[in-house]
Amino acid sequence: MFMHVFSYRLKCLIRDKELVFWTLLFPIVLATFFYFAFGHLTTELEGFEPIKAAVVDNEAYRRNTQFRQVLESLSREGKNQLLDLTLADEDEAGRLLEEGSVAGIITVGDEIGLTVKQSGLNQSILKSILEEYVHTVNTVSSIISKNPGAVWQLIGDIQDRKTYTQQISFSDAVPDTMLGHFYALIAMACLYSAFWGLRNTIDVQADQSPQGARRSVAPTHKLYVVLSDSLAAFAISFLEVLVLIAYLAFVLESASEAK
Amino acid sequence: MVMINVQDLVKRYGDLVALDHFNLQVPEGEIVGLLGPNGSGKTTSINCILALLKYDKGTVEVFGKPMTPDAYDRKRNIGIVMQNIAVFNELRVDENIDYFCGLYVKDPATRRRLVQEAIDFVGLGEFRKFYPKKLSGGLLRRLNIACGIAHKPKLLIFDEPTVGVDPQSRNNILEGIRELNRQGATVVYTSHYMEEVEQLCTRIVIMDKGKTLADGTAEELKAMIDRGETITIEIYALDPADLERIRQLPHVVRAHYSESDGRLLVSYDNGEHNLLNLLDYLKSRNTSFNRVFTAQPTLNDVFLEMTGRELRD
Repeated sequence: MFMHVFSYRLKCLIRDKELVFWTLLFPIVLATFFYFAFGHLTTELEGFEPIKAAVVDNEAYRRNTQFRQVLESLSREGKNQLLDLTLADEDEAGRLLEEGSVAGIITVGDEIGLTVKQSGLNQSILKSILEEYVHTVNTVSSIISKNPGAVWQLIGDIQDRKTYTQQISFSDAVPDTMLGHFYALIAMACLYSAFWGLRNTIDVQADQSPQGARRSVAPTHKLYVVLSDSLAAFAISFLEVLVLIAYLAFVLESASEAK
Repeated sequence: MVMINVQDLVKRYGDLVALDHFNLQVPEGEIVGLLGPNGSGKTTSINCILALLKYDKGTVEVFGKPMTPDAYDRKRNIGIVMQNIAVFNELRVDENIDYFCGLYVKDPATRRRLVQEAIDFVGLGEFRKFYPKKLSGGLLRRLNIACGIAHKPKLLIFDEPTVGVDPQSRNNILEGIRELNRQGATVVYTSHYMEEVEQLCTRIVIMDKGKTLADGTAEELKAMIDRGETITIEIYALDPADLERIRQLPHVVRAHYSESDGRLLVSYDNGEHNLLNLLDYLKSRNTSFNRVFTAQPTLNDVFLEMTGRELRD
């Protein structure tokens, strides 16, 4: 009896194309997208070079001592060097951007502006630096105008910025953000196994489906039916997760190594 | 032996009383029809009998013992054909029948034989490898029936099995139920189609608003109401004085002549020789007539008389 219910349940579930798509094919497709979209992110970050940018050397820039100091500290040579700046007039900066020698042009006027030719990681970093600077200056100005006495504490806070999250590794390996995405994908695939459970519940409950009503009228102990169904669902979802892991480990990993 | 004995069954859904002291006795070997309009409590009563629903009051006995969800010895001899198609779309025709039969019969060899017999019985031999989605509505109904009868139950319950079925398939289903009854199965058949119930059932229980209104054979039920046959005669012209005299004839309840379509309608109570008396009168008055029709009272008339509503309302 157990094998009868179990084997037919396996057939029922395996032939449910919609569920097989969401629980097996969808995670595999998503993993492939992850691989192509973020696959080179780690290697790009490992070989990070200071971002080349041009600064328009105009009167406003020379007068803005604070901003100049910030840019100089960011382009100071060393392991934390973020920018590689070139001072140039407007025409020269435009030419550098046009020929691709710099990722963007920083212009100081009434506001601080950024000119880029294309979107990319370097351009995004430049944009973030400028936005952070403008945001901090505005915050400081606002606080000082309302409470001039807080100026020294404010300067201290800005110089001593704290990070409240800490990245640790459970093993000797260096934490890898990219790998985290794939682990999250495996977790999602495990979570999607609940769909099998949902289907089982609907098919066994008399008030949820006519099939459930017919099975409830049968002289088979409900515990047998529930256990057989659950085992069939577990077997399928376990196999699916194994297939996903195998795809990640053998197909995507091999492709990554081949590059 | 009484196969099903339901006494004073009460089932409430909040404030709605779905079954109101409902009674039902199904003797062995009969085809008992539960007739009532939609929402009259037919399916609720079946679900209570099968222990699929808890009820508030009353008793339900099947094969002489109380029916409970774990009454496996009684369930072994019950077959159910639901109103909704209760098959798995992922299993083929033969697999579906084998699966549901396997919930009742353990021995694989016996099961194979029973599955084959069920397929032959409903005439799905050439479709046995088809998936349900590939079957027409009528064939799907037949598969639904095969899944309910394959284990050869002593008690078969059909809950509106012909809803949305074409006339040919409907006749096949009804003939199949008769055959199952001839083979020894006791049948409970619920429907709101009075013609089906009248044609098929040896006993009819009329229910409305969860109550048993009447119980008996079709003839017994019709005899309960004060209405006999209705005679329709095509007459080109009828003198109003003659119409008045027809109204005075024995057993005439109502007489009406429509000049627009030239038809005389005469309704009777349960008297005899009504047609002969009427035709004799028309001959005596030298009234020429064309075609003559007679119609016996239907179960709809019975329902109308008892509730003031038609069955299809």
